[in-house]
Amino acid sequence: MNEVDKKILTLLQDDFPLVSRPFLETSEKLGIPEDEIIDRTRVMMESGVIRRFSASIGHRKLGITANPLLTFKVPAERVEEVGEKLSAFDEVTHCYERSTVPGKWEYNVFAMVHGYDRKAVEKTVEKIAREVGVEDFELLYSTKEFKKTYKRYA
Amino acid sequence: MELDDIDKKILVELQGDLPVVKRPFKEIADSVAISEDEFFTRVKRLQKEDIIRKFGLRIDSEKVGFKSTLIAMKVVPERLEETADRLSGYDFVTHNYARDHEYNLWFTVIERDESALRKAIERIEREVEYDDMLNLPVRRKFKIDVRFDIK
Repeated sequence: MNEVDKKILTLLQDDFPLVSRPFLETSEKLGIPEDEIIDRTRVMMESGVIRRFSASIGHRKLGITANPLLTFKVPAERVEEVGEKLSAFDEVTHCYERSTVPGKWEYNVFAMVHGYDRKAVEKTVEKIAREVGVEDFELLYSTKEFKKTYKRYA
Repeated sequence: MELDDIDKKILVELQGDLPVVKRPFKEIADSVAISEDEFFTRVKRLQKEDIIRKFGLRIDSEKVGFKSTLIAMKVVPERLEETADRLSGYDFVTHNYARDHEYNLWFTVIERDESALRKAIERIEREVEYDDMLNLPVRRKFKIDVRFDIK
């Protein structure tokens, strides 16, 4: 990523222009041709520096209010398999293996699950737990959102 | 705010990747059979209602060197709000939730590199009162695909 790429990201990571030709607007601001901005953006998408070109939804506003963190205690040799199985569920938006703190926190595979209400989510969780075949898990509902922001990376 | 079918279709489309072309929005407008102008009007309304929270290029923080972690904190329930507000005041805390558990406060910390992340955690240890804190960094990523089923 060079300085020009950084400038593009700086302009387009939050306030993406909602206009017919957004890259043309950026091109005028940066003094770089529109085609070059499009090409560079494509390259950054291919390399994975840009993860998505999309919207983030205020899901709570849409009534998706049951958003628990589901944590499983998975033996090391099954982590890969369980992670992949969990990821296949549409209701799971994030899935990670995380470090543990022996004696205090031994759940190593985390999945974020979303649903319209707790009843629906509990059904989903039952289905998920059965599918992955891990009995030791915890379901941690969020009871309040204090902060949700996005850090600027460029 | 009541969403009609067109709004719902727009939300479904905008959660997937847009094409990187001269007129990216035209393609979405066409696919839901409205004009580009109507698309912008609707999207601005959805933004105003906070249903669209952010729109644009999402950077993979790790690919640009950033380091992050998840912290679980055990806080006296009477002081939960106060502690949460204090943590939310830090720029390096990006997501912060109360959860129904003995460890009742869960938040993410993100900084520009490993050393800055360590300093951020040390600052929390120094400045915030709590009973216990677990640092749970990611070891392996399986999925990040935040798309919601729009009913």
